[in-house]
Amino acid sequence: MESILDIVNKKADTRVERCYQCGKCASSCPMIKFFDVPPYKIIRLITIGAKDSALSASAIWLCTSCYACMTRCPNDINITKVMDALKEINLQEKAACHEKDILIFHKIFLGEIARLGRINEFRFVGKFKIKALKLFQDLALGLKMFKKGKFVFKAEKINGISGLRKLIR
Amino acid sequence: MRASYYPGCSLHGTAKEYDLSTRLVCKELGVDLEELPDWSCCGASSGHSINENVSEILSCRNIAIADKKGLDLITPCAACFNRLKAGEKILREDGKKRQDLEKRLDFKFKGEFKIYHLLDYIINAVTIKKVKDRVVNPLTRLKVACYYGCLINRPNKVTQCDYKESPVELDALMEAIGCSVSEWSHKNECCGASLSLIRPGIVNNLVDKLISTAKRSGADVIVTACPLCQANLEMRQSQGFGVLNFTELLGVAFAIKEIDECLNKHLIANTLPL
Repeated sequence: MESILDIVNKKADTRVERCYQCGKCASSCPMIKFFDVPPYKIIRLITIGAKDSALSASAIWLCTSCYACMTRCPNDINITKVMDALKEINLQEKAACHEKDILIFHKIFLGEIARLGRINEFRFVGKFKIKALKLFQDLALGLKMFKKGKFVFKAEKINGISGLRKLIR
Repeated sequence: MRASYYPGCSLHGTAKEYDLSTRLVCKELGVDLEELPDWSCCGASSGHSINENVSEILSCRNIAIADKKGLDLITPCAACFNRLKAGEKILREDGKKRQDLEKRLDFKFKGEFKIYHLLDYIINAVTIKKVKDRVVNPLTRLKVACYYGCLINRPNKVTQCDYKESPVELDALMEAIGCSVSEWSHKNECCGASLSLIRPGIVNNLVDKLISTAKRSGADVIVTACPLCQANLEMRQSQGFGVLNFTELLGVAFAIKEIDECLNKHLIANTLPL
C-alpha cells in the first residue's frame, strides 16, 4: 500500500520530507492561534506515517489558503497544497472531520456551480445557513446589506450548464 | 485597447459597485471591456480545497473561452485571478494535463493572450502616465493604506508577481492620483475571507487587527483590489473604518459623476477628506 507520504507528495507535487522543523510556516500563519496542530507538525505527521492524526486535524480545514507558509518555506514545500491534498484524502477515506460546517460550505458551493455554473451569493448563503443551522447568525448584517441593495435575488444560469455538469459531476 | 473581461460571481452580486467602477474607469482610460461570453465560476477556495480536478476544469473552461477570443483577459477579483493563473500554469507547463484538458473541454490552447488582474493591467498595459494624465481631481488630502491581501501576489510561481513580500503596485497607483500612502505591516496579511460566513468569530479577530494597524499608520481609509477582501473587511470590523475599491478612488480622481452611486453602496459610510 502507498504510504501517506507518497500520496501527499504526489497530490501536492512536493516533497514534505525536506522539512527540518524550522517553524517558519507557523510564524507566517495568520490562523496559527486557532489551529489545533501547527503546519510543521502536520508535515511531520505525514513524514512519520501518522496518517490518522494528520487527516483528522482541524487545521487542514481552517487553513485559509493564504499561501504565506509556502511562500516563505526555506525548503520550498508547498504546504498550502499539502493542506488541500489532506482534505481530499480525508474525504476519499471518509476520515474523521471535526470542522463539519466548513465541509458543508465547500460542498454546497460546488453543488451550486454544478446547478447554475455561477454562484448567486444570496441563494448560496441561504442554503448554507439552513444546512449548517446558522439561520440567526448575522441577521443584523444581512438586513443592512439588504437595505443597501447588495443582494441580487435572481440567480444567473450559464447557457453551457449541461456541458459543464458532465465535466464536473 | 480591447480586452476580455471576467467579472466573477461577486461582481454580479454583492460587489456591484466594484463592477460598475471598473467599467467606468476602464472606459475613461480607453480600455474597451468585452465580458467573456457564458463565463462560469472559477471554483474559488471550495474548488481547490476539496476537488482539484473540478477546480482545474472550471479555470480552464474560462481560459478556453478567452483563448478563442484571443484578447488579454482582465479580472478585478484577486481570487478569480489566482484560479485563472493556476489553470494557465497547467496549460502552459504540463503537457500531459494540457492534452487531457483540451480533450475534455474540446479546444486547442493557443495561449496568445495574457491574464491580468485589473490592477496589473492598469499599471503595465495602460501605464501610470496615462492615469496621471486623466486626473482632474487629485486626492491630495487623502492618506490610504493599500491592502493587497493574499491572492494577487501569492503563490508567486502562479501569479508571476515580482513583489511577493512587499507589494508596491497599488501604492504607486494611489500616489499617481495624488494620495499619500501609509507604510504598514499588514499589506498582505490574510483577512480570512474564505471563513467569513463559517467562523465569523475568528474572522472578526483577523479583520480587527488589520483595521487597527491601518488606523495606527495614520490612514483615512483602506483601499483594496479584491471584492472578497473588501466585503470581508467592511463586514467583520467593529471600528467603522472605511474600506474602498481602488477603482472607486480612481473614479473620484477622474471626476466621474456616477462614482457616487458606487460610494453609496458601502456598508460603512465614507466621508472622503477631499
